[in-house]
Amino acid sequence: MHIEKLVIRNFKKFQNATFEFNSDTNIIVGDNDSGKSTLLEAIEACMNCTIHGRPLAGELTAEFFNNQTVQAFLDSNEDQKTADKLPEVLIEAYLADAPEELRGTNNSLNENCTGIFVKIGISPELEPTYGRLLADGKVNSLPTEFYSVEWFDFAWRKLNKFVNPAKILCVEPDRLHPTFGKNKYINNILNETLNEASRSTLNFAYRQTKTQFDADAEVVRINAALDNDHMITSKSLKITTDVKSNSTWESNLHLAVDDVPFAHIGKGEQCQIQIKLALHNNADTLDLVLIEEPENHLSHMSLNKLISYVELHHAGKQLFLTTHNSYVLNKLSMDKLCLIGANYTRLKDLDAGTIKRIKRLPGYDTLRIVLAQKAILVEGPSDELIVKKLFKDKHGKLPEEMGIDVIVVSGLGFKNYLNIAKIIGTQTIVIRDNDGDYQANVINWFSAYEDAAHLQVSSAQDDTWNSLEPALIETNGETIQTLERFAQVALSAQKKAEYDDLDDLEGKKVFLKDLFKDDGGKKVDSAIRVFDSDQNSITYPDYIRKALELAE
Amino acid sequence: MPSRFVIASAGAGKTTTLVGDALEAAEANRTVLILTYTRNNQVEVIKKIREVKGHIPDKIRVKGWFSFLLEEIIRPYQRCFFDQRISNVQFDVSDPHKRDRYSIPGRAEIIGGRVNSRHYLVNGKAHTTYISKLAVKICQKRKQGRGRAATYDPIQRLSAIYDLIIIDEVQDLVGWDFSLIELILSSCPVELLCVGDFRQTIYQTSHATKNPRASLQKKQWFLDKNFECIDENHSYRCIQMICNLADLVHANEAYKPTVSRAAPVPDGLDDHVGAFSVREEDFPAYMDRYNPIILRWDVRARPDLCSGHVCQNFGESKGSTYDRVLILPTTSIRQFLLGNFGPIRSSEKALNKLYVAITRARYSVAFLTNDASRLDNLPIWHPAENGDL
Repeated sequence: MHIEKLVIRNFKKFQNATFEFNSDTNIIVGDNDSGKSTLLEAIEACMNCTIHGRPLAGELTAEFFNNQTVQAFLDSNEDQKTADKLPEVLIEAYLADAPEELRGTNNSLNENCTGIFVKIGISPELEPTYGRLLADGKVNSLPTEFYSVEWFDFAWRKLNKFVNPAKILCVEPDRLHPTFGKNKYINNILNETLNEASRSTLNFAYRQTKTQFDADAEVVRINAALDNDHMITSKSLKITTDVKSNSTWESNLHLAVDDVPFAHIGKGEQCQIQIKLALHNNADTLDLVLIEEPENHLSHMSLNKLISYVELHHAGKQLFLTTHNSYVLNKLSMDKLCLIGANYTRLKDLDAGTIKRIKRLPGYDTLRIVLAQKAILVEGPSDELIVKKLFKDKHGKLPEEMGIDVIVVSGLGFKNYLNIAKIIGTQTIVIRDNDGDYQANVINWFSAYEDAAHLQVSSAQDDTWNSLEPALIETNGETIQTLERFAQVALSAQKKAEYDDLDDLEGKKVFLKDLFKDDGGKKVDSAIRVFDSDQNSITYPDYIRKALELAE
Repeated sequence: MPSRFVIASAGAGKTTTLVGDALEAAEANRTVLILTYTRNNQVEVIKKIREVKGHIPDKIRVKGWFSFLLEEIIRPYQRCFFDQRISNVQFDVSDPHKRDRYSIPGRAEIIGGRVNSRHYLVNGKAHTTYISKLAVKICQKRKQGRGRAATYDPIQRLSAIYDLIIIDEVQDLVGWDFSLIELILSSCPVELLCVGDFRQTIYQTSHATKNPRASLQKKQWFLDKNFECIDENHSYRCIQMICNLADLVHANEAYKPTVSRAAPVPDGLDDHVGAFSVREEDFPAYMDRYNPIILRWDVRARPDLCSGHVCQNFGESKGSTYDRVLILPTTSIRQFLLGNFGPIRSSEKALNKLYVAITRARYSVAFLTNDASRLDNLPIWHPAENGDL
């Protein structure tokens, strides 16, 4: 079973939202406060009628309701606050590969589909009481006390924990906080992992152990001495164990790693074990696994191992995973990305070549192009520095402070970033070298992206300005004086002395071009000196100016 | 597999057969839905499954006919008519559109071009008299409608869930119920097994005006729809002589003669077997000697004789088995005993009640009457005799 589509109305951030999902893996990304966690909560609420493992009905607060909707209700006239106008939360999961009994048209889209929905609305029994409250003019906050939770399938059959079509497991590493029922939580995960027979065996063995305690010779001796003269009571007084059959192992046993209680092992290890336990499901009965930010508390190497494990073991389960980490995304497959932003976008149509290249080179920060408002793609670090310097000269701020991310593409190449940006819709400007052939390397090369208005390219049109440095030298090399200004900023003291020994303009230009040719270190050193120099210390090539204008 | 229609005679062990079929299908990993009309029968079916299998398997679901209509046909698609969730079934044999035989205004099916909820619902519940009509209308709506809402099909939903649907007690279904069976039959790959016990229909099921209503019409309906007809014309309960007498009741309806498969009469009971008439003067002696259960039309029948004996109304006796039965005849039963079949056959209910009463007995049936019966093999019992024929 998997969720094809989730419709959310008035739940927290989502006033009216629809999310379509991949049947296997969904990597949910978005800026802080974009609603990633809320989306996971919505899935749990709809599929299990719980929130963070607790029954929804018991946790019902005004926080569940969308602020705007609630405010609009509260601001409305008293005669508009009737029971039928009260805000309602509705979450609907449209399912595929689900039992046919879940089929019906009882959903907001009127689709004949298998599915489940949860609705939080005014309880019919309490409507009259609400009516009296309203007549007294006392409704100035959302009356959640009058609300109830209803859980149905699309055939409008009532669901409950016994009639619960989906099996779902939520892994939230941060739920292990010491004050938050940590034992119950980890035991939940364990319970899902063990099969019925193992659970019963554990329980039985545990009760056996407890009875053995009473029979221990030393325990018997202590008990005999406890009240031997019957001064305390005429009956028998004993220290014993509580062997009620309903006190199960879960409440008394705990998981230990190398003999250290689970709660006391490192956060990183805890996180890994939780996720692996969740996925390592013997019974194969789980339908959905929700994992929140698996990268938390993990070093890069640990994360690497964990993600490989997830990759291998989630078959047959629909996985929802929130992350801020490009590595997780790249490794699990870029096309599984689900971006929550102003719009909800998926990358399912990303081409196979890009996916494969990103998987092979997972170290690149692909999330930056996904999350950026605007992006400028540049070839290397010196291009980045010059672009930023120009921006700072113009605006007194760095581009990232104004929502423009300057991304160095280096090994992954422009095209992989562009293929992502093309689908996501990030406004992207490419600044690239023409490498001696503007027509071939810029115009022809970019033709695949021409029809995407949000993607643009800027490069030097003169084939002799084959990269940034020649362009800088030519732009600043109108006269010997202008070039001198540039050389003063860009060159180290030693190289400046060599430069000063030359007399003519052409000679100086050749010296500079030779200096930068094939020496990345020198290029970056110069770019840093430019970056650190005063405002407008050099003249910038037109194609970089143009790129910046496009981005602004 | 073609759809089958089983006509069972009383004591044919239809529940055993039906449960056997269901379990066999479940073993073959097919999903089975068993539908019953009465609550009693539902209990019987569940009891039988547990008896044979120990528990109800995953693959078998037992539902009442009305719950089935509500949960599997109506509710999944009810929003084409009603936005409020129909909370339950309103069990009620009366006509919700009438009060004191006068029509209540505002109960028409369609008002102002819209489906009228008061035609079907009472306090948000689906009234049993109109629930099958509602189910059929929801199925048909799909064919009439346009746009996205028209893409649903309750029957298709059904066939995606179940491989075999067994409908027991089809004799109690009427009119719109049959329209629904026809829809299942015509558009569904699911196998259908209908089991009927037509001679035992004694419930006045509903006020539906739609055909088929009478047993003969219903049987003809199954023939017309090309069901494979299977006559379970045997009885594991009654001895042959009682079967013969019982067959006489519906002799004009072309049933095959019932063959007794009852075990031999045990020693101690074999001194009195078959059918008899007992004169009123011999009643105390007869009761004394054989202690039969007294079956009567209702409590108003001969309270003077009944007091101090175990009595049961005809209707209540359905489903029960007794060694010996004494029947207090109604006027039309007395006519029947005189060979005048007209009066009893004018009422299907009376006819079937007589059939039910006779077929309760394993070994002996007696009628309390002073008339000289014209029927064959219905000797007058005399206290002096030993009671054998």
